[in-house]
Amino acid sequence: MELFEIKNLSFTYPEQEMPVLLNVSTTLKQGDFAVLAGPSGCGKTTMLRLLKTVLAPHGKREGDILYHGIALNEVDLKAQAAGIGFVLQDPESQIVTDKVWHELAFGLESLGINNAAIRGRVAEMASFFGIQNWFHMEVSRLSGGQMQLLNLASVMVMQPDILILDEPTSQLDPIAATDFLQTLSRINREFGTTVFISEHRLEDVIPMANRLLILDTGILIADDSPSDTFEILRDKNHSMLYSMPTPMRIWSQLNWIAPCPLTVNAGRIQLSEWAKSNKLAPVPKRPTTIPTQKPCITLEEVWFRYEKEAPDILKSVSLKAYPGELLCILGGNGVGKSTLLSVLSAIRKPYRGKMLCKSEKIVALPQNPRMLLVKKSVREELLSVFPDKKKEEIADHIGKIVYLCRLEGLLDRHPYDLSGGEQQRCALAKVLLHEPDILLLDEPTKGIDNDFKRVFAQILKTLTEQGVCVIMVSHDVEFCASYADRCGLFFDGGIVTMDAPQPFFAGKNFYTTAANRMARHLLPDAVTPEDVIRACGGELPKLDKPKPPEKIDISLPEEHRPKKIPLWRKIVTFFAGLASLALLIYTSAVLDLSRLYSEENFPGDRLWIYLLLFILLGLFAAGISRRAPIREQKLMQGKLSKRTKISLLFSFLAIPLTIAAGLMIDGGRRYMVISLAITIETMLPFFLIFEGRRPKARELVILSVLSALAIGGRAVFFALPGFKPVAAMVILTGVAFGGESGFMVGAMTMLSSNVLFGQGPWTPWQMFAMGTIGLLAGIFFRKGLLHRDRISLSVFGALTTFLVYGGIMNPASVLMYQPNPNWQMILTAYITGIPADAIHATATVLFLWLFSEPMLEKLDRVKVKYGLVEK
Amino acid sequence: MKNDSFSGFHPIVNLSFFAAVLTMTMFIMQPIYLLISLFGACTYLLYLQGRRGMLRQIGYVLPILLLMAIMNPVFNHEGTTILWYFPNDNPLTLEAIAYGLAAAVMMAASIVWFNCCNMVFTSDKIIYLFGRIAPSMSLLISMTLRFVPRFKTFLQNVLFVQRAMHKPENNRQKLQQAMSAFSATVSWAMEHSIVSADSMKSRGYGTTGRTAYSIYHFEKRDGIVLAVLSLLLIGALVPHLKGWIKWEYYPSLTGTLTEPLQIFAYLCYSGVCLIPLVLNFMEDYKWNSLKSKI
Repeated sequence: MELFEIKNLSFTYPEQEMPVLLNVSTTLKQGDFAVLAGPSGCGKTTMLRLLKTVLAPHGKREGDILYHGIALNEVDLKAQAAGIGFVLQDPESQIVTDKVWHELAFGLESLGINNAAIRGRVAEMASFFGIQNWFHMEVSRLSGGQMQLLNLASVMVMQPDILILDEPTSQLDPIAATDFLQTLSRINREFGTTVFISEHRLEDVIPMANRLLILDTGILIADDSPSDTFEILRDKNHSMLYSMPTPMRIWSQLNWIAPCPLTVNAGRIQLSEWAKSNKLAPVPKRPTTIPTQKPCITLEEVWFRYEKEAPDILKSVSLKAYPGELLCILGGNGVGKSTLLSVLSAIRKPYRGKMLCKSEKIVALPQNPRMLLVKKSVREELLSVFPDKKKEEIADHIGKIVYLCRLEGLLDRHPYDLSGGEQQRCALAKVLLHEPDILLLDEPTKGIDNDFKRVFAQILKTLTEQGVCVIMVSHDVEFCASYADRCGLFFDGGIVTMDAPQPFFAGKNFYTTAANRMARHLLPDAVTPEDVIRACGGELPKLDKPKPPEKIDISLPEEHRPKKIPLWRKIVTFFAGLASLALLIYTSAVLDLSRLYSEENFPGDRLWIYLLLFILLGLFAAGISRRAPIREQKLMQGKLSKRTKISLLFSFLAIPLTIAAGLMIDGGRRYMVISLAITIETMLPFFLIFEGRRPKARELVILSVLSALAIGGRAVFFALPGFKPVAAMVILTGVAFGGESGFMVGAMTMLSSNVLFGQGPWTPWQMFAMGTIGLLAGIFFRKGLLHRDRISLSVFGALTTFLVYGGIMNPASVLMYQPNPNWQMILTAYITGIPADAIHATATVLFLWLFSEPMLEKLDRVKVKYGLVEK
Repeated sequence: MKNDSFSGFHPIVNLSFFAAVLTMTMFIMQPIYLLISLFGACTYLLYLQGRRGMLRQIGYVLPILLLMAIMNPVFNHEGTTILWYFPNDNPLTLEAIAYGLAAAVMMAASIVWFNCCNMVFTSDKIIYLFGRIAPSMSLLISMTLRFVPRFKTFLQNVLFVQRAMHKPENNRQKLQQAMSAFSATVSWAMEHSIVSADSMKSRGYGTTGRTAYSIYHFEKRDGIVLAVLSLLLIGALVPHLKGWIKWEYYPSLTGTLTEPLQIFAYLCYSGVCLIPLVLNFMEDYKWNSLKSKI
């Protein structure tokens, strides 16, 4: 039975002329295991995503997609959610909830299944996947492989009839990847669930598949059983062949007649057959570079552990690395390879042994290139490495690196719009701008397809020719065998063997390349497909050399400058600022606590000073800030929504009513109860409306991401207690997403952070105070009352943290701890609270000053790119 | 933390207990009631955290309490029994001191109860209880809690990587690095949030009729504890509402403390406050007897 029928499918992204998919037609039957392959950017992801309505990208679509014979768009979304299971590339991002059991149940909850039925299905799935042991765990404690299995399980629990997977193993290490694919194959074999997978780890997945589809620049060039597809590719002499697993490459280059071998074992048999009638030449020896120079970095019996009580990670590691060589350190997961790199880069110090390093210029490229990507274009990214230098001075230098890393065409792209391989080259370029003598790489080939690997290898080659010493740790046996000068095996805290690739792999039985496993009985020295092909007398394709460098323009586009502030406002601002500063000094000198105790009544005269101070500060803020220009107002769609207005109205009605009720019932003695009731009443309409309109997935995720950033941002300032970026984040949220979102993020941030750090009677007040800050930010900035620049934002931040947060939390502390409060106590609380408030306000201002512009840019980008702009 | 058997009860039971205890502690200023509450809270915390945890708590709470106990007589001069005059001729009264002490005990008890509450109410339970009334917000919290450790790890890794590339020489550079690390985290988090949203949509989020799954069952023993709790609460609350245990601090300390009816009320209230501890002891006893049989 046909599960999916795709007829003449074409797809074009908005504002692009070339279609990504052109006239693709295919069918997927019940029980198929179909693999979709093709070079990066050929439209694989687009094609897969089009098979589920909620994931389909925006753009122009032609042709039909039939699911069970019905046009996909007409199939009920719930039926699609259950029937079409989708697993995406990144294991971590797909997980939504914080507990494993909740994640498993998430899909079933959406389908509206009752508790008892969910319990049964979850139990079944957990047992099938062997998840029961980590059923109660927090997802953040799982490994990447476990996470991806969890993703698969939480899709399988909905009992889909097709599983669509978009490069599910690209972020996993080889062992976890094999595990995952085995599970997938088992699901396919045992339940007949159709699998449609795009994957670049073809050697593992092709033997499982009954269909192999090849997509090239949007055209489906082959759609048949794997071996037939390879025939087609060979007949066309398609460049994809060079990215194929070893047995297929050897088969295609030697023009064997028998059907293509899909496994190493089949390849081995074919090679034996072929060798009976043909003569094998000896494997050409690769020139081994005998190091003539002195080593540039030396480790002598180095020991390392993280803590005194912890086990040793590095045990007597000795290592010499020479200029101009690519040294690969191979080894399994979690054996300490990355620790070795951190010792080499001198971040961590060994507790025993010696490390000698001639050079100061060691740089490391992190495993995840995104850790280095901060700016909004590749160009700015590169320029940001030298913030203090003029563009003319560094143009040549940057130009060279751009050419080396092949970034010429990508300079104006946003780093996050690049593919994985391109992002990595961008990060590499950033690192290389420091002109290192020693380059450390951590798993650089993870998640990159073979085309990009080849480009990457060429870049490394150029570097080593220039005398740079490159040390990389990797799982990627094939890559290291092809390109390394020397390989070492890292095991149990030490480097076990170290040699040039040919002798290194030829001597291993299990930890070796596919080519070696396939040919070792005849050609014991062959470690790469090229070795085997050469020994069999085959031809190798010539790789085209990159073009010579062109003049690369690294100048930045002109920035928009806002209008200048008129002189009179500058004067007003100046004097207001001066006066408030003077007043601040005066008050802090005059108002000491002992004076307060002696006052009989509420010190009214002091209050005047405060009032004056705030008026002056307000004047200062008004003078310095600018109204948003009209253009910006349009972009921000600056009206308050009806909902927000209603919420505000409710809050303002509720407050006097509660006070009146409190006075009537208890003579106004229960201050705490009344104030608590007020805070809750004020927040309630917002929460009710939020619940009532059932927020969309994207909104929910963005809000929780912002809350989490506000909480997690504390880690930035871990050295400075009380220095929290929470208020700043909440303000920025309000500015970017509106008052309602600002309120929600403010309130939920405080609630969630108290879940982590301990609830108390202060929770509702904190929620109320932060929520109000977010709401005010939304009102002031989106209405266009204030300009979105960092001066206005900083002033706004200072005032709100002082007046709103301090203004609410200081009396709240009195109301909380004093059952019988009076004005003096509250005033005392205000004054004793000033230092803490000042730190808080300073943090907020500092944060907004340094950070508001890039941050708003980032938020706006997400808004525009993913259509989050409010309706 | 010890294996607390009260935590194993249904979240509704936990919630009812803490809601009852906290409100009564904060509302009933009768001295014996306050002492009972404080005793119950402290013994439970002692059970949960052991002696070391308890000492840490005391070190943290005691200064606040002392401050509160002093603050009240300094600022409040109500009361008829004058003990002494401040230099500015304000009287120091016995009533104000007593009230300050009572307030301090009240605060201490509620802080300690909140501490117990934080240990019993894990994020699961909060999310479960929220999920009943506000599913979207409960999901929001759950997701926030999921993202926090993730972002922190990423942030720390970025800081690490940056330091490896360029050691900061002064505070300005340190701050710059921290900022740029945070910036990288924001970019990354924003882009990844879209994947999370896709994953949610792909699993049917946004279609109508969403249910909330929980791993909690309401068992018979939950019902029994709830019933006992309600009975004891009635026994403790009715005397308060009827004014049988009335105690006034101002203008002078008035009220009785040892009438039979009052003693009955104290017993009921002690019952309420000691429920978790009693449940724990019952379970410990059962285990011990099981062990001795083997």
